[in-house]
Amino acid sequence: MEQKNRTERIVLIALFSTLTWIGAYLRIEFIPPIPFTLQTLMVVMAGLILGPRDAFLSQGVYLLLGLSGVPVFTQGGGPGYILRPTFGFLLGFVLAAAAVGWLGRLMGKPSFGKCLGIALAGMGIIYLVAIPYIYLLNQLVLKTPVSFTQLTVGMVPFMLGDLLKSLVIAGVTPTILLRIRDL
Amino acid sequence: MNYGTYYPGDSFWHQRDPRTKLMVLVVAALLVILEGRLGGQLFFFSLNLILFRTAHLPPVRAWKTVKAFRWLLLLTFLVNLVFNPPGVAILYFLRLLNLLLLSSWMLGTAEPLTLIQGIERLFHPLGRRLPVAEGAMVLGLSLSFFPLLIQEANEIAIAQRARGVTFKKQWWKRMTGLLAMVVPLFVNAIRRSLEVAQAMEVRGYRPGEPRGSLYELNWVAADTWSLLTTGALVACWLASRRLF
Repeated sequence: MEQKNRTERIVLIALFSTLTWIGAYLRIEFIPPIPFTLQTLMVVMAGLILGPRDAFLSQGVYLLLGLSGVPVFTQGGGPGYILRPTFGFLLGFVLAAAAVGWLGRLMGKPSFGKCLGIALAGMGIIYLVAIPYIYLLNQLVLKTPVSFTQLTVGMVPFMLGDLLKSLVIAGVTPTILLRIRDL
Repeated sequence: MNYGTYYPGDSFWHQRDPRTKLMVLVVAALLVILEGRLGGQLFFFSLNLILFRTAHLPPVRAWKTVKAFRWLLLLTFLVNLVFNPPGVAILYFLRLLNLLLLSSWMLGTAEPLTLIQGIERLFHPLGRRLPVAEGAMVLGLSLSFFPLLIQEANEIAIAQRARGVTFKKQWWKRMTGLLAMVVPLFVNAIRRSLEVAQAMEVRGYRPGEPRGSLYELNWVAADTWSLLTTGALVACWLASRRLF
């Protein structure tokens, strides 16, 4: 897996953008209003397997696919999606994948603890992008003033859900990394 | 029919080159965003209706677009009604609606793959600096991976069910069921994509080298005229800003 040529990199970037797409469909209702999708797992895996640059590209391609009208997002696709509040989370995926890739390089041998730390960092970055995005969307486009604190408090139930997700990701990631090492 | 899906047809706009449609969309969206007069937004709304009509898109599609974004549209309108005069609230509402209708029009008349091809051709001049062709290859591959991976996921689900994994009842059982799918899904997907890379190279794919296409885009006089009309619209719009 380490020595990848250019064609393999192109194919793997495409694969991970599709996996994030499929992640949007693999979902279960956790504690009812909070859906558990596997998208964040895909983002973390993209970072760990592809490295920062290619992971960034794979999530960028996912966004581009959605914006060009392919229904890859949880509620469809198209340029109009930019105006949805949840688009901030999708932008967060791009940066989170790159950051996870960068952290993954420092990780060494994968373990539950290290993977948990990386998953939490990835989740944190997604929120760091998503909350300001919703704030700016409200201020500039929808002209609906909502304060930063109100937004952050509103996110708490989702954050709890993501905390649980991070635990799951940390549990499953070392196994996957070990299995694909010999490919 | 979803607001973003392709609507098969043979209208004037269906026959246009995807590059024309992309350029019309970008210019029109810019004008809609910059337009701060209510009359102007109403004009763009009627223009949208003409675009829908000439593309033979059914009116129900416009309605579905509104329906898909109803909460966003309603929220924008109501909140602005509280803080601003009614005219401003209608302006913001119409601006958002116009943008949504424009994107719905483009997606209805162009298939995703031709749009990707159009984007690739538009950005072609940047090809020396940016890997445009490779980008388009990634987008195309990603689209073709989707049905393969869904099929793979279904097969794994059946295999795991045969081993006693359940995907129903309590959420933790469903979660363990889902996780039992994830590991084989990843491993198989990566193995398969490395095989795809090998197969592409065997068939002569070399990243960065010029490639031909089975379906060449065809720029005709009507495309040039569509762009000239769009240009004339921009000129009229600029003149209207000076006059009114």
